[in-house]
Amino acid sequence: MTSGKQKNIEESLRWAANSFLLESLFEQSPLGLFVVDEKFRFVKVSKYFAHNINDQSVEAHLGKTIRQVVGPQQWPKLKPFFQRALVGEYIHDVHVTMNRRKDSHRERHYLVTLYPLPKIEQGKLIGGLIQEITRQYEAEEEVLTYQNRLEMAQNAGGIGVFDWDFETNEVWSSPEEVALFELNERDPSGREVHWLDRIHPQDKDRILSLIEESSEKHQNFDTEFRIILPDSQLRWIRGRGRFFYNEEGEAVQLLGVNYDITKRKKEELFLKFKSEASRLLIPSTDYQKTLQQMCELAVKFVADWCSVDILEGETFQQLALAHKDPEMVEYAKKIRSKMPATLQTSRGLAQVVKTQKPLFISEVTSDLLDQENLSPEQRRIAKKLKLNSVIIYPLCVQQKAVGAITFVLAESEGHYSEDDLEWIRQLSLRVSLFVENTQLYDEIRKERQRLFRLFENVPCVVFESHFQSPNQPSRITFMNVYVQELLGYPLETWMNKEEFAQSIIHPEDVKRFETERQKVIRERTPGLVRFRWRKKDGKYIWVESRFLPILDKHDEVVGFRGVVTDISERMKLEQRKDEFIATASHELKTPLTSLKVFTQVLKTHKSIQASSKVSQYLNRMESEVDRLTELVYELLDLSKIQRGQLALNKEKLSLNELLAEVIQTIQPTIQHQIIFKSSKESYVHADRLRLSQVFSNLISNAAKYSPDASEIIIQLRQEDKKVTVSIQDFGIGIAPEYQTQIFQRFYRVFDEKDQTFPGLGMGLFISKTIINQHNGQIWVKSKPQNGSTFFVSLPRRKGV
Amino acid sequence: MKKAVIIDDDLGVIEALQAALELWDFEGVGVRENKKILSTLREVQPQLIFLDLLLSGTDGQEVSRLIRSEKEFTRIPIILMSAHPRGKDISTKIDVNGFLPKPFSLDVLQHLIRTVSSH
Repeated sequence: MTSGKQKNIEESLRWAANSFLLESLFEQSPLGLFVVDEKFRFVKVSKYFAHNINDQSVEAHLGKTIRQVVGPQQWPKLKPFFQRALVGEYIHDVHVTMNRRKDSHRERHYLVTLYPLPKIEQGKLIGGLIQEITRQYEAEEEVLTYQNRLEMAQNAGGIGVFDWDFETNEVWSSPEEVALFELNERDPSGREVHWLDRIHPQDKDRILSLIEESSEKHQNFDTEFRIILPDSQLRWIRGRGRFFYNEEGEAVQLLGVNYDITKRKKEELFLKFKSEASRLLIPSTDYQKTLQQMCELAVKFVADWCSVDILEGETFQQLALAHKDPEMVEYAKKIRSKMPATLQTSRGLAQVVKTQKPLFISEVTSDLLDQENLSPEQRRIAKKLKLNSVIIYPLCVQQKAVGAITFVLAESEGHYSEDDLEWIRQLSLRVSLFVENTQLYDEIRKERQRLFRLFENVPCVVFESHFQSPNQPSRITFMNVYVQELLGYPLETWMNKEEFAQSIIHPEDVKRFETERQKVIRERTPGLVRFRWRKKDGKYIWVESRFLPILDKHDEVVGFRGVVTDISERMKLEQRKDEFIATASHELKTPLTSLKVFTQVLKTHKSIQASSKVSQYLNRMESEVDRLTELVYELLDLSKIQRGQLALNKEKLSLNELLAEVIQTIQPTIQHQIIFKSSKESYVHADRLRLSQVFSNLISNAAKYSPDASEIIIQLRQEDKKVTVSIQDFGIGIAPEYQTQIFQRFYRVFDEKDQTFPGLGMGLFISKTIINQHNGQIWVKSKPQNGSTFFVSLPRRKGV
Repeated sequence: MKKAVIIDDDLGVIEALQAALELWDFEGVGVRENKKILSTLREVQPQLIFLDLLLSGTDGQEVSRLIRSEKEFTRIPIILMSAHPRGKDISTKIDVNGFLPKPFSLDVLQHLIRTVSSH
């Protein structure tokens, strides 16, 4: 290196060292800054450049060529620009794609700015700025148009530098500064504009006093402010400055940098807005309030006006409207009530809703107002509202526009750009979703309310209960308020006390209730049980509960859901019916008594005995009287069963003896021979009368349904825990499909010729009831035409 | 001829019993009104009394007590009759000699008369 060149470098470096600006930029800025000499050797690099762009220390750069640092493959991509800069050309924001040494497979994107360093006449040093834009590039690649990318690239690099000499009041501005503030355009009077002139009126006083204060206190300043460009575009600028003083301590010079932070600022504001709005936009009961809060947020961060309109029929309902000045809000609302916006009258809203496309007016000019053919009043209003820039975005629910959200810039004099459309699109999606969710939520809530109202007015108790397992106590999880009316206990008692419903069941009914509950758990079939519930006043009422098991995903029963009805009135009616049946059957028995006696007396007369035909008829009459008597008894039993009043007088008795007695009584009345086979003496605990009734019934049935057979076989078998009696006939038999039905009320078996056999079919039902009440079982095995065998099994009593 | 008084509010039952009793040489005298019971008994001086458990207006139990309260009738056999299913139980608790469920067969009736008469 020649001494002359060395001198040049030294001079340049001295300049650089003296320059606060350069030094601070190199140390602190998140920018890749560097200086290279005419051999493209690094003379100075910023920390950021060394570490973040090249992954090497600052020291590792100094003295090395660019080629050495970036490698021979990458250097050719950069070389032409550096050569051009070397001959004095200003290279501004060229996009260079390179592969970094570290993870070299990944393509990286940089913006490079090169400039011959000022105050060096020969331009043998090149200053450079490199910014990595890989991430933005990749992200934007997907979503942004080429147009947007270009714009972004243009904005990225421009750092303006100014040097303000207070003594001469001259300002030197770097080309970037000129571009940033559009200083090349003169003001209307032809005067050269100062960057201070561009500052937004709302920020200007603050900046001026900041400059004054900082210079007095010998401080640097670093601030953010807005500027308005001649086309009234708004930009956010970050400005930093340092003062230089003369020997008297007066500030004589201000050196400063300005750069565009509009995008970041907007993003910041939008991000803030978006995050706060997102927190707001969750389904709520007061959705109008939420929308209003969202509009107020918008006004705080990104708009002067913000409103949400939802279409109701043909008219737009302004659900929310915000502006900083409450008086302006009042004014706008007054206008809206005077001139409602409908699909016909409104321009913007209607257009947006009809087309489902946003409306974007970057600048509301008077030409535009002319085109719109506004009435003088409308123009006045537009002027008063100072509408400057407008975006109306449709709100869509299930592909249908239901309204729109409006953002307006007015007093702040800025303009929305195409970029802003994107964040408004994101936001309106969110608002749409919110509206949709709220509407759904509202619908569900209304449905729920409707259901609850319905339940409230249903004159029965609707309930849902849950338990951990069927053996654990259950808890009511839902119950309608009717229960309070019915029984008098407050709803909370039901909800809070475990097993409360069970605790007020009449002691006599607890077992029946529990049996039904277990049956439902076991068989997963609907349950039906009648029981008495104790009211708060201590009285009992009859209720009927119908319930279903609730199954979890493993098909386990986890609770019940059902309805409990007050049946006390019905029970009273049934009681009256039963009383009637009791009286009626008693009344019937009286004439039957005389009829039977007269018939029998008649039979004893010699003249009658002489005529076989008359005797035969009298016998028939007598047996008909017996049948009638039997029916009357059955009717009485039936009404008792239904009332649950079939009382049993149980005693320990010998089943062998009982059967022998029954056979002895019945044998004379039938043609068949009854054959009784038994081994050991078997004892049961039973009601003698009722059990006799069952066996009489079964034996007479056997006779009835085997008219052509000659015998009936009765067998008694003793097992360890039970005794089983079988009654076998050799008659018409029962088809399989009827074998369970015959135990139901009023069921009768028909023979093949459809000849009805006598009896109303109450006998088997009564027998089954009696046997069940003895904890026994009754069933039949039969084949059509092969006879039937009825079985009765009862728990066995051991011992003598 | 032996005599029996039949106390029942149903004429049909009275007449049927009269017809049946004739078979065994009994003359049956029916009483349907409570107030005539004692006077009839005094007049007829029966060997046997048939008493319906549930007379309309008065309970058969009360009537039996009324009859037994008269010295001359304390030893006359009374047969309680009833269509009530638990009538037999009641018959064991009051001062009567036998129970006849309604309706009944002549065999049962004859057996019962023999039993109570021999008592």
